[in-house]
Amino acid sequence: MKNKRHSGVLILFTLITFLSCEKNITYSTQQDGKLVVLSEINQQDSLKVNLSRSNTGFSNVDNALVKLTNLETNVSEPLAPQGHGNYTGDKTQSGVNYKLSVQYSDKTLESFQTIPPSFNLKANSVGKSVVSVLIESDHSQQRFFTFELLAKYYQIRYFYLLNNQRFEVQSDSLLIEMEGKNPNLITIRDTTFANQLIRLKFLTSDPKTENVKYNELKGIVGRIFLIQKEKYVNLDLNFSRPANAMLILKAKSVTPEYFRYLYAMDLQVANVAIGYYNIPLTGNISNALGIFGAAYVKQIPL
Amino acid sequence: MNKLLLKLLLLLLFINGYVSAQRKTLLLEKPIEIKDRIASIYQLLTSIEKEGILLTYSPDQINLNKTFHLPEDIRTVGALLTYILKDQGIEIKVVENKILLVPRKFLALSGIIKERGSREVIANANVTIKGSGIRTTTNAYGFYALKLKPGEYEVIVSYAGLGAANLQVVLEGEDQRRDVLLNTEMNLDDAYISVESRKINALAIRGKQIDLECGKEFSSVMGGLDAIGALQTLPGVFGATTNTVGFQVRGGSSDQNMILIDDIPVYSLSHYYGLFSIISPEVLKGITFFSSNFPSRYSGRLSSVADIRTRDGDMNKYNGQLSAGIFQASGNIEGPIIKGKSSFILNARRSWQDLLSNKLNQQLGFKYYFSDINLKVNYIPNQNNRFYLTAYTGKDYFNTVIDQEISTQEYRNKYRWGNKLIAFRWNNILSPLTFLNTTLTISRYRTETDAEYKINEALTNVMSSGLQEYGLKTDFSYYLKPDNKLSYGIGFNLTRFSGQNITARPEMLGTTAYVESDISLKKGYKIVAGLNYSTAFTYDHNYHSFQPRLSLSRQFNSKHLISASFSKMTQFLHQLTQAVIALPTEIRIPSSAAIKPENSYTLNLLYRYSPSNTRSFSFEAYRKISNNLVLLKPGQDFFSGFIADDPINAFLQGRGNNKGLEFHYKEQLKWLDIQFAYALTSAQLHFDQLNSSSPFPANEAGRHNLNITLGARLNKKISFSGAFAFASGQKITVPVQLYKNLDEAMGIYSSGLIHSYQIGGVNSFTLPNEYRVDIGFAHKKTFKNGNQRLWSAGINGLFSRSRSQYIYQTANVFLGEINVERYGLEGIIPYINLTYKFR
Repeated sequence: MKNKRHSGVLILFTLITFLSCEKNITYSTQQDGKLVVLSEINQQDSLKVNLSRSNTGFSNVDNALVKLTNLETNVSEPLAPQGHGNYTGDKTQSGVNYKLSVQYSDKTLESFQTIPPSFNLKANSVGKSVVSVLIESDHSQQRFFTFELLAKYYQIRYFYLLNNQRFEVQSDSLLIEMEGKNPNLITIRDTTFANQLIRLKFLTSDPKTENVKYNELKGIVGRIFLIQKEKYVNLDLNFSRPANAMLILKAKSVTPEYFRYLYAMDLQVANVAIGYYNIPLTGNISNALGIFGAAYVKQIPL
Repeated sequence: MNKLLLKLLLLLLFINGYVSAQRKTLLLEKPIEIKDRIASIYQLLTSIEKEGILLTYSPDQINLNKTFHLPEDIRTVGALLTYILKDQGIEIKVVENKILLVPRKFLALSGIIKERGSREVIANANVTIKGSGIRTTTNAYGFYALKLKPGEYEVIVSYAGLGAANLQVVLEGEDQRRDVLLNTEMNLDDAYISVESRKINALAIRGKQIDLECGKEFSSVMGGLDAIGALQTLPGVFGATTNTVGFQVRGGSSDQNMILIDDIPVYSLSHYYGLFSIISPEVLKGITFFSSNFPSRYSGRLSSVADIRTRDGDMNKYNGQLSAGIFQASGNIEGPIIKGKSSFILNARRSWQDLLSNKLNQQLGFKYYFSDINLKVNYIPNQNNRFYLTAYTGKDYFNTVIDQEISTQEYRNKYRWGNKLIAFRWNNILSPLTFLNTTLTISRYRTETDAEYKINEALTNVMSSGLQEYGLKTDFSYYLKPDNKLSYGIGFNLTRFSGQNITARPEMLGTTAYVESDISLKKGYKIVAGLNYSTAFTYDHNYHSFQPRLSLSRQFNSKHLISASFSKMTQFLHQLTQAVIALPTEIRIPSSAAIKPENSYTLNLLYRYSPSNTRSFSFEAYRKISNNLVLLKPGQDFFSGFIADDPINAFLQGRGNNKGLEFHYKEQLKWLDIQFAYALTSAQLHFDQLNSSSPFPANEAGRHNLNITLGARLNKKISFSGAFAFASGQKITVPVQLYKNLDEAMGIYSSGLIHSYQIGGVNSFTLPNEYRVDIGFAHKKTFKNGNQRLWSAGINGLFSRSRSQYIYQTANVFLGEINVERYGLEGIIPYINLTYKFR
């Protein structure tokens, strides 16, 4: 899809470059970079806050004092610096008000968030390339959802044992062939999962989603946005299943400001690819860039 | 407010209706049986008296012997009297049971002003009664009318570039029709154009007349006269530094300009990536341009109206020309179909780069050409009627075949745009004081791109956008009193939109009715008050708009003029162009429930000082407030098809606040023409959803805009021209902070993730100032048989830094730098043209 977006630009380029002259202007962004706070609290994962500075090189900030305060109990938890600008803490709870404080360079920045209430996510059917999900949530208020398709890639290595020694073969079919010839052969299939989750691109044609409504994030970034106004919502999501990957559909009920941030962030990424830098992105931390987001997370394997 | 305006409209209509009602008394409605339909006035008056109606008249004041062949539809006394006395200068009055036929206090002097050689009608020619201060100008069809007391008058008819005519007129007893032929430049022995004949048209208070004859030397594009090139030299019109024919007026966007060619609305102006306008220079007659003080007959655009008129074709003899240059070749032929009654003009153009370098183009995988054909035919069945047919078809074709290494797919793209225009017009002089113009128009515009990937058909992208507009309108001009001209009219138009996604809305039906009174008062005061009422019936909503127009001016002797005007304009048709792209890649949508009509309110002050016939200085100050302006939401990209189906999700509406000062100096010396135009412009937009609800500068707004043009005639054969244009740099949106992407920070990786950014404010970054210097040279040789050969050569953009047509930004996150790549039509573009005119 990115290529399709590129095609329009290519037309322009070929037309313009035939007749025109290119001139470049290079300017520096505001060199006194700002502190960037990027964080999401959810009920499922340990808390992670990443601090860095904007502009030149995105240097990590490892010398800040970061605290998360449970405003119900008024207990503050200092987050542990982990290097690379990361600070970690315990899991957070749904429905609790939290305050994130960052003390850095004689300034204290604060932001407040509450993890939205729970919801149910159910896969009605899972096909080869389409999954139909049902989202059930409290219909008394508008809910903001994002969906991501994550892949945990794995690698399978094939061995047989001979004289207590492992011998590797190239493929499962070879191993099966060997098993057929020698039923007593001991074979081993060793699966190793990658550490990182890789987000995959996927699509929807459901007009309820913001992606279809605005038609500007069609399968480009890989995040589906939905504003739910009713208790039950069915959603069909299309994907292509890669080999050697375990797929996870992750749905998040997020706060409205976090929802807007994520949408604008993805739109920025889509437009940067074609040279447009005009999407405003607004965070929720005064005197700093970034976002302190909150989400209630549900995920189902596909 | 609307009720007040409605009352005003009704009042103005009542004034006109009152005049008609005077003639329709019961006595005049009485039926009469006319036995002999070929009869003299005396016989016919006698037959009325036989009906028992008392007639009072003086035989000395009526030409009683004049004979008529009466049409069958005359069946009442009033109709009969009106018919037989219409040229007698007699007023019909009903007093009690008597009909009085008394000499009218005022008589009509009217006619059509034409060029002597070709019999082309001359619009905006000045008709002045010497020593009286009474003056008027001809309309677009050369018609003028004056209501004068009986007496002897010296009438001066003049037009810039043509020899003036002095008429001795004796108005006595009956109205007079005086058609006037003005000597053309050629009739002046092709000599230097005398200063006297090059008088600047200083009489018109409204609008700017583009003097194409005088402007030939400097409003050229690649050596050819260009209508839009001429417009771009005016103060407040930005566009010269784009090196294209696009333009913006007083900080408004380009879609706020209405371009009319012979009353046909035109939706795409450019050929060859904007290098040429679609209006062939050979068929061009004149332009009247309004950026304020809009006549009531115009509506539909917020910022300007360019009323372009084409030539009718020589009525007396055949002539034509062939022209060839680096980029294009053209041919033009015109002449009489029936001498003195009917003529035609036919013009064809085609670029020929693709023909000259076919092999190279094939190697490059590139083909481009444009072509257009203009045809105009007119017929004069009698002196009170004239019919015109105008037709135009033109297209641009661009084809690329590219092997893309990146995607390993062979890529083909066709890109086309073009117009088809047709107008049928009927001019009718209903009476010496009433002019009727009825026009039927069809305008079709379409742009489409067709991208195809040979391997992966899924990536094929077909995009098209266009519209068809059908229009019918009738305009009346009625010279009510010596000092009061009444104009009114009505029009309908049906616009059908075509294209994908958002453009696939069905149609819009528009109606327009207007009335305007032009009143001259004592001591040089003049009031023009009018009202335009427009409606738009769209697929899901109906809108109507009252648009008042008011102008008050005073002329102090012949040198000083001050004027204040107010105009409201409403726009029901919205064009969206991606701000960074200046190609015809726009889409148009009608107003709807989601998109409200755009409105502008313009207050304009003008002071003009004309110390001599060949020199004038104008100062203007204006304030223009607009609402419901339309912008594409950030992120919406219709060129690649990434646009919401529902307009409300694709567009934003907001307010505009423009103000500025303009200065215009023109001087026409015997050998030199000088024009200096400067505009100081401020254009601010305010959209609640953009820029944190704070005002921001319009992308189009250049704070300073300066145009200096020179045209020098060294002798009969050789002339030089030069033009300098300067404009403040373009405003664009850029990031001021680059920072880490959240997904990356959280350890979720996705191909293409790079960084986030914060913009520094919408259109807060100013690109470098723009300038352009053009020079040109022309050598004209006239042969003994009257034929001419014209060489013209020059350099466009001898020095230039032009406006960017496409901007591509990239970021270097390690250095914290943004690179703005600007693509524009820049650099030296030499040209040479050879034109041969045969007569």
